[in-house]
Amino acid sequence: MHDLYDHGPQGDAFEPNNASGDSIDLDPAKLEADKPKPTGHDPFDPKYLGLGQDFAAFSPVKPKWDIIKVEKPSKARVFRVHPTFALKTFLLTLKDENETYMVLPELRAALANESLCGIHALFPCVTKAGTPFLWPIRTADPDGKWNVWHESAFQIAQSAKVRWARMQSNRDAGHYVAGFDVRPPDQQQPPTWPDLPFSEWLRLAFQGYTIDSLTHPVLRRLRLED
Amino acid sequence: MERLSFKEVWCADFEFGADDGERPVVRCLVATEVRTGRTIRQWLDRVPVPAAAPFNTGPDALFVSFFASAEMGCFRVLDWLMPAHVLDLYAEFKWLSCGRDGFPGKPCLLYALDHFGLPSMDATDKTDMRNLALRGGPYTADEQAAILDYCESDVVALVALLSKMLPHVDMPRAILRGRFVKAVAEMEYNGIPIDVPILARLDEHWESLQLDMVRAVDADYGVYDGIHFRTERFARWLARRHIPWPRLISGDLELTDEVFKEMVVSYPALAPLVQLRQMMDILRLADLPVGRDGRNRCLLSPFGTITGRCAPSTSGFIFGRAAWMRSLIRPEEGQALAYIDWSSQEYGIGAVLSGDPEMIADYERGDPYLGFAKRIGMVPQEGTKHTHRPERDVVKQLILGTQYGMGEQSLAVRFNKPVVYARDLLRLHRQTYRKFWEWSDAAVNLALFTGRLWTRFGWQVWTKADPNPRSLANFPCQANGAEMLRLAAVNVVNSGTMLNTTIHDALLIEAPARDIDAAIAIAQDGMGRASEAVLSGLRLHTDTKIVVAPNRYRDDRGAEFFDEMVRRLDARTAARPRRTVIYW
Repeated sequence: MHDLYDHGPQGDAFEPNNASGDSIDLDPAKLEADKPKPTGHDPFDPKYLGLGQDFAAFSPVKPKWDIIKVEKPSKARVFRVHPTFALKTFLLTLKDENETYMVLPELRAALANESLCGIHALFPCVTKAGTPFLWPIRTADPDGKWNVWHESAFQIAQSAKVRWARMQSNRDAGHYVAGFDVRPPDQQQPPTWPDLPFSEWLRLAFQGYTIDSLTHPVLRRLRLED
Repeated sequence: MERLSFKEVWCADFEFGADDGERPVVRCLVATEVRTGRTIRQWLDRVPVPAAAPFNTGPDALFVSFFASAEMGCFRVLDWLMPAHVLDLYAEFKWLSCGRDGFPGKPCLLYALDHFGLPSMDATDKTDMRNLALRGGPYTADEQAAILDYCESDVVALVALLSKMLPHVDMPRAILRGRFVKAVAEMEYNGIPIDVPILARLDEHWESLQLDMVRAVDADYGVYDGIHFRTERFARWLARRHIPWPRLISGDLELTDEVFKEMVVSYPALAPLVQLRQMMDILRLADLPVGRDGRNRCLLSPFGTITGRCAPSTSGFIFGRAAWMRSLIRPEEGQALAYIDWSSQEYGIGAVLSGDPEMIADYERGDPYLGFAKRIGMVPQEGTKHTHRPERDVVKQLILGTQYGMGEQSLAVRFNKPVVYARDLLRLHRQTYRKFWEWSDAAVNLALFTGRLWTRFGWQVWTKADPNPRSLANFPCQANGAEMLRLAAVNVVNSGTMLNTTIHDALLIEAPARDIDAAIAIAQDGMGRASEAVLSGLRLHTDTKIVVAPNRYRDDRGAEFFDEMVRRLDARTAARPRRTVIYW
């Protein structure tokens, strides 16, 4: 059973927590929560006794993300792309396993001819429900030639920086198409970005998914050495 | 104790008797001034009664008792001016322990004394003495002395309890709660006018009427066998109508009153059956406590629930009984009643306290259900509740359900639609009213992480060892609604308007028929000021239903059922001469 007098954290509600009562001043004039009491007024008038109801301000709880997935937004997702964060980097993608690995810069030259590797743009995104994810889009090859699917995704990502988007593949057209919230930005629901620096996004996304040596198990497997 | 900023602090207790439905008959009073120890013992039964309380009840004095609505009820029948400031140690003990594991819902004085390690009278002795007080006079001199001694022993205990509890009392807001306790005494004094002749006739023919009504109502259902409800027949009726019904883990149909009440919202065809089931549960109508003045009275039990609402006995309180029974409420000749409730009170509270601009806008436009339906494109902008009633009903169930933390499975049953349909609506609600949901989620987090939630005026709930997040999410809107109702009741009583009772989010007031409009305006103003106090200046809308004698109060959910019952009663009694019924 709780201790009846262990009131714990208090918000702004007045609650004496000294069970002895010896040092407690119960003068009502000193117990008002919000406003001073004008002389001659009823000290118990509700207008002087209100307590805050902004529970979000009192709550010591904040969401904490331990994992951020690296994935393409599914066709059921409505998402926004972060307006400023983005990274162009070298990734290794295993489509069958649905896994994406970050390749450290010193290994890139050695893996330049590995078809599963390539330069990607990494866009931090968030869903309407506030779930963050990183969206990797393969960029143009060294000759500047784009795969049309990737190019269409890249363009959608640019537009999704200012409005909500939902992306789907259009096999008839041969590229991605997106629906956008066409209302003015100030009439759209603002995205809820996690309170994280971009480096933390990357850490949460690639912890355990970083190629840091040429003997990495994934590379050995690709070389049929496992 | 000396730090209390009152010149005098009086701990007091009355002994009284009260038959069911009647006002209390006061036997005696004992009061002790805490600092000086001065004690007053006053016998009050069948003797000339002083014109005022024999101690200071002014603004510089504090009156202290345990379950103070009873003491204030004695002040009321003695026609004494009630104390300016009341501290009810029952309410404050409840406040201290509300929601905690192991504490009773309605703690008694003995429990509170025991909790603080204070000595108390043996429970058997206490019962004997209470029975003596209840027995009624005339009393011998020795009996009077014994009752006064018993009363004084409670006051001694009260003084000790006050010294233990005082360090934990949130004094200014405790005094605010004491003001409501005085309003409760006023309501219990006034009671609710009942049509006693029709009640007596119904009671006289009760068993045969039950059979008549089973035959009449069950013709549409075929679920009764004689007077017995048959579950397997009900299951077949549900299957024929493709109505999904909540089931227990065992797979059996869940047949509680609560489930029937919930399901009737989605399936109005169930309404007569619900009323019939409630009728069949009543053994004797005369169990409803009605005084000789034709008024229903029972203990309103202030602060009886976790959210701080009153918890009157469901059998003793006319508004706690089946909806059709409310048709027994009828003002006396020349009088009128007004039932005034806040429209969408919990919705409005959630909107304002969370500061969600979309919710506030939808509330202020007058129909939040239609507002949401338009926001999600379910209803076109030009739609009204007349052109799009089914869509509005779905949204209404969704919004009411979300206020009670209802999940997608339960909502799907209500809608009779796939779970994905309910899930999608819930998602849209979360997206549309994001600020509200952040606030609501924060409230649950606050309770789970810090162990406590509180209302605008300090009513609080502690988090249990095994808390229910849905109940915690529901607390801010429900308990602030209760807070608002308490303030409104105080405002209305202080305005001199006759207040009969509070009912969840409503007040029932009474006035001479010619004055009812003025009384309603005063009550609405009192409710408006209460709303402003809780919601930082916003006045929630109210709806009013007026009943002028000889009409009776009608609750839409049971009025037709009552009419049918009376028709059958008339048919039954017209066939033979009626004998005189002596009701009391």
